[in-house]
Amino acid sequence: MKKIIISLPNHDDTTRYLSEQSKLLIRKIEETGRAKFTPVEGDEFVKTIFESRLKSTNFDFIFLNSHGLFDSIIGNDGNFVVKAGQNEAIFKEKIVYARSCACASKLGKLAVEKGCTAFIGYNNFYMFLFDPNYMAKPEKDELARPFFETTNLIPESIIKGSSVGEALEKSRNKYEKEIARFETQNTPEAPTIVALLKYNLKIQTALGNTNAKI
Amino acid sequence: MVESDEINLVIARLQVLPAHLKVSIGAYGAFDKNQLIAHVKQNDEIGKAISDVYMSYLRSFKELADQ
Repeated sequence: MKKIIISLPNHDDTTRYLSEQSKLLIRKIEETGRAKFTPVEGDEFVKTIFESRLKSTNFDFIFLNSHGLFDSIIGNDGNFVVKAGQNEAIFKEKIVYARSCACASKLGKLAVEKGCTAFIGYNNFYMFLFDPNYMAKPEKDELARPFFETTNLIPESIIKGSSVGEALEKSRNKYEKEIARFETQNTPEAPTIVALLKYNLKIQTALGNTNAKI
Repeated sequence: MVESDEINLVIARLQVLPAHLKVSIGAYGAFDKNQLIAHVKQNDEIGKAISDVYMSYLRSFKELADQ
């Protein structure tokens, strides 16, 4: 069984959505018995606790949900958890997916230079549309769904045995299907969903060994 | 195209968005259409981020038409 560490911050609307959508994936995967997730949830997602949890087990895969900057991943307390030039070496010999804004461009690049096997992330702001009426049940938000199904497919594919590059390709195919679907919808929000999906797809990237598998 | 034309195009796109929906823009937060329109008019970092999204989208139509 694969061992996955996953961050589930919840200090604002964005992180709550990221985490609730990730819990859907956790339930789906754990039902198959393929992987065991170690969640770092809410206020636990700070540098000291995350580093300690990461060192405690030889995890096969790191899946991070959080806010991000070009050089860092931000914790539930607003301070960095991983920062370029500080502690990117914690990703050494790991496959990482950071569903976090912008951090592939500097943090991901440096992490790979320092021995991270592969880093999947975004070169700029990861954005999504959502309906605040579903704040208590983000997983029921049909408008947010395409943004998370396209990206949940990355960790899901890797856990099921795809390489990093194959997982990215599956995600791209899902993006293209969702874009095509919303392009034919005549609703006021459809053009914004299409624009945001196209943008997220454009900035989604993988660095390092894209043939790597867990 | 001059910058003010781009701003007007982005605002026109935002105006059709239902008022209760929000766009999450990372650590900047989540914004409804009226807040986004204000940021686009101010041409600040948030305004530039959402403008970039819409202009990339609109340019993709032009690229298709040019093919």
